[in-house]
Amino acid sequence: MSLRSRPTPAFLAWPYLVGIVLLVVIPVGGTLYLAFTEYFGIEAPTFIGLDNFGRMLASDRFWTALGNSSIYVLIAVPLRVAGAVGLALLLHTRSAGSSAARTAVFLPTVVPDVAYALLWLYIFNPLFGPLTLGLEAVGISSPEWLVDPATARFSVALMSAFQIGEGFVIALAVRRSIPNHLYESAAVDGASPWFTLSRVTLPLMLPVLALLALRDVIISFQANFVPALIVTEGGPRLATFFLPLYVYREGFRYGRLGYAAAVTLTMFVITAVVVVIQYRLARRWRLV
Amino acid sequence: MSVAVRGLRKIYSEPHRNGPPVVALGGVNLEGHPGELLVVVGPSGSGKSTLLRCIAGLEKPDSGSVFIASRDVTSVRPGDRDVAMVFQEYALYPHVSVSGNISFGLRARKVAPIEIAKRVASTAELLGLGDLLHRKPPELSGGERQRVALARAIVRHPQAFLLDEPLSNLDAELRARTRADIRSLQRDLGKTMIYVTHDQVEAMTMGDRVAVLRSGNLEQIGTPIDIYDRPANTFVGSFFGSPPMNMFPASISPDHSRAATLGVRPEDVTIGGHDFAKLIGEVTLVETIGAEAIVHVTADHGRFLIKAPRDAAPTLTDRVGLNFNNRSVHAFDAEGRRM
Repeated sequence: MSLRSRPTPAFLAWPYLVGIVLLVVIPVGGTLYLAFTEYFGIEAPTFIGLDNFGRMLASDRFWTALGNSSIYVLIAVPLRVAGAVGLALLLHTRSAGSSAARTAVFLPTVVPDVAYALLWLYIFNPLFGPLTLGLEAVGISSPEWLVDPATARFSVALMSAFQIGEGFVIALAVRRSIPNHLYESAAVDGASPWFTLSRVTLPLMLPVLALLALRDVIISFQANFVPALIVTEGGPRLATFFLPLYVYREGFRYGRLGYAAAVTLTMFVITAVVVVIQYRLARRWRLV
Repeated sequence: MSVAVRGLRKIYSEPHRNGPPVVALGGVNLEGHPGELLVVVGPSGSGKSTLLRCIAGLEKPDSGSVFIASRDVTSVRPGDRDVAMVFQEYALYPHVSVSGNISFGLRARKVAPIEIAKRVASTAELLGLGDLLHRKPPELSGGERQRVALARAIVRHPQAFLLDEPLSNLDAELRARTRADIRSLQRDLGKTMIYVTHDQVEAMTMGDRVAVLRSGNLEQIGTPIDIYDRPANTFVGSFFGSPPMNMFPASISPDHSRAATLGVRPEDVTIGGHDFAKLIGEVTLVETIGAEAIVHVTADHGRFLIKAPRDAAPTLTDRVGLNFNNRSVHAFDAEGRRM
């Protein structure tokens, strides 16, 4: 008697594959096609070649949004990776209160984006926001977080620096995987905490930190949409006018869906180029 | 420089949540003399590693003191005790070259780079690591890693060395060779070495003196010959020797009122005829090991293991007489203490 044939992995994967096709492949294909058309959502799209890209490169708004997004990534990614790793190093031990603290670190990540944005709108409030009041209570004059163009971009990056639950969990797992006898050996050898951190802990965590940074670049190019829409509405004076908001305005406020698709495609290519460069560097430094 | 502990107690309160507290060390007094290789031996759970970790400063004793070179270091940080430790798992930094591993402690103490280079070179030379200095630990064999771990300890020129089962991850042949290497290295360096092992062969062959630990208590300390010839109790008697000492119950006072245990080593028993034999038993197993055989004999008093020349070994199911010289008999009282 033969054994009943078991379902093959490919068979088991098909619900997932259907999801991927419906939710990713078809929209990506659609975007790719629409990027080369003029399409307002009413009549059928008309093919216009590279016209959308020409218009985009000539648009001041596009360059402003790209500049803002790049600055945002440069601020947010180091802040987020450093936050995730720093907190993981502080909270990796099993001590009193540390598991509550770990939960607290993860919590902002599971708050819905819109609720999270509204919460920060309150925190940043220049009159009664806790951040302003707290700083003034200790005698520091609070910057006008969302009002001043110079601080607004940083404020949005600061908001993102608390939604680091996934990176935190990964960093925590990596730190815990470093055998304790390495630290005991360093202690007997007379290594200071800083020497141990810089020569043992961080080098051993580096490959994963490099991957975390790669992942964060991808996320950060996109993740500022909700705060930019709800908290700052792209302002003040376009300081938080990021690429995703630009795409949204062009596509859904002005109905230029073909043009919005071209900007989306450009965003994708820029992200891919940055990630490839990072990956190459990480490979050269033997980090991954 | 001497290494000593006085009244060292260590209790682990929560080994498995809500479990009873475990006494890892129950007030141990011990001293490793200057230039001596003191082997601390005992079965797993005897507290020998905890003892070493307390000396190194990696565990804080609940009471008692640790002295290194007559200085009370009980509350001194591990790095300021001037001891070097070799870990069972070697604790090499996998991302750092052999040379970087050896120099780690010197760099941590901000020794001048020229001095570091000089010391690393001479230590690598001493341990035959000269060709491996640029390799990383994952590219090394077990024996090479072990030597790097030793080099890292030696290069610091510490007052004393602490070794925690350093050979347990090596195969038998390499273990025997490294045993001899460490012994002669320690003699050359002339520094105190506390060497923890569960292996009685390592204890007997390496130690100037041997300290036997069981359940957190020091059972006996002495030269290997002392320990073998005059075990302080039944535990020490049966822990050393392979096969272990034969133990059998006896009563030793004229009126048979005092219960005792007698012990006789397998090599001290001879097999012969029934006449004049002290005990008679049946041969249940003969294990031949090269020139020797271990003969298992079941007698009225229990099972005996006897070492005999292969040619003189009886065959299975023979009934044989067992004899031994009274002077080779170890007598222990009802509590198992030597009488």
